[in-house]
Amino acid sequence: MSDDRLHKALEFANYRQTFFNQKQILKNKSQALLSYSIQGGTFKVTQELIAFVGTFVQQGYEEIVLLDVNENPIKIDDLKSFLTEITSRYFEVTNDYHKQYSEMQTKRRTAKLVEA
Amino acid sequence: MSQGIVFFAHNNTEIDYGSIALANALMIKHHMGVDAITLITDEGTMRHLKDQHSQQLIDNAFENIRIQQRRKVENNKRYRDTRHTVNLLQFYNINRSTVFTQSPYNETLVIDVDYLICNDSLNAIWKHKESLMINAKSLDLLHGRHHHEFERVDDFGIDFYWATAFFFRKNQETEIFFNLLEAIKANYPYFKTLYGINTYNFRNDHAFSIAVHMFNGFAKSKLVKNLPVNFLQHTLDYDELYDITDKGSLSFLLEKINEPGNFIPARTDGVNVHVMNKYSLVRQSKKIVEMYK
Repeated sequence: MSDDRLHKALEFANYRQTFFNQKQILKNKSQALLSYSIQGGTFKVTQELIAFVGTFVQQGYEEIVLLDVNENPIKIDDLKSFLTEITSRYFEVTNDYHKQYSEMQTKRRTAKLVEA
Repeated sequence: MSQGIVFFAHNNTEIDYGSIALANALMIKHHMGVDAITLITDEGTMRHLKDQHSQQLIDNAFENIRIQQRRKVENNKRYRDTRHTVNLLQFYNINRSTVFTQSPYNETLVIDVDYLICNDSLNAIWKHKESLMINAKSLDLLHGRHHHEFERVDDFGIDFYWATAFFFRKNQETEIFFNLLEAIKANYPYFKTLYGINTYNFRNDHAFSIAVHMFNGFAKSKLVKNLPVNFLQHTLDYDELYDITDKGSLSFLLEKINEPGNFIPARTDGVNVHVMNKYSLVRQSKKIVEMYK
């Protein structure tokens, strides 16, 4: 392999490693932000939680008790507002993740990946 | 019920913990919107802080400043500035167990000065059902780089807990916890041997890990819960925090896995990061203060 080809391959490996790591940083950031605390309890905002709460809102329930991440029973007094809050949190975080990831994909140089 | 954040900062001959605390306090005010910040420090650190920064800026950053007498302790810690520099310096920040009596708040979040706060996720702790929360997990900012000593205190030992950030509400239960912590500190050689800890110096993380293990009923029972975001994120002292380009935006050089001295760049936006390279933090603290003041 010529020096130039080797140099390009190493440069690309560096780029891929930086790209992958930046993606992991974005993913971890999203995970951290997908946490919602209410009434002294903490919930991980997931598609399952949104669907579960949505089912009871559709059935007309106004309050229910949910188990939080520490398995403590937390009484949600205003179920509809809770659903709105977790849904908007979910989309805020995932939309932001999508936006930043899409921007990253357009950058083809290592330095550009970490530019402000 | 009063709520606030407490920092401990005691300078040694090379690391200006006071200036790092000031920079981080300004970051907290901006990103978390918390003004109730107390600095627990010593006379020498305070004098140096006043030499470096205006009184107005210090008053703006801290609601309270409590001066403790710094005791001379034989507790050396290895401070690295990437692979290029390593120094054995005094580590005075070992008075964390006094926070129960020192904190002026009913609900206290204790943060290491080197845990740079860039978002408001820690606000979820206030009025939480749990009265004591501390994390056992911290993710390396370089994906795939694992350090076993951050998982367990020893190969066959108990889980490692990070004293970098923890929350407590003053009550009888937490008073017992901090008294236990005091007892562990006072009898550290015994507990260190009992738990198979090989490091020479006193380390807050290890003392907390022992206390949590005992508080959990000498088992992995998870009676002591994690913070609402159940992991921290960190960079090693082999890495470099080389710039802060914008508020909440940190730029790092992370040492590659199995390639000592070679780095890849990384940037975080709105991520709280525990920066272990204190030298790089001191270098950037001026810029942080300028940006946030």
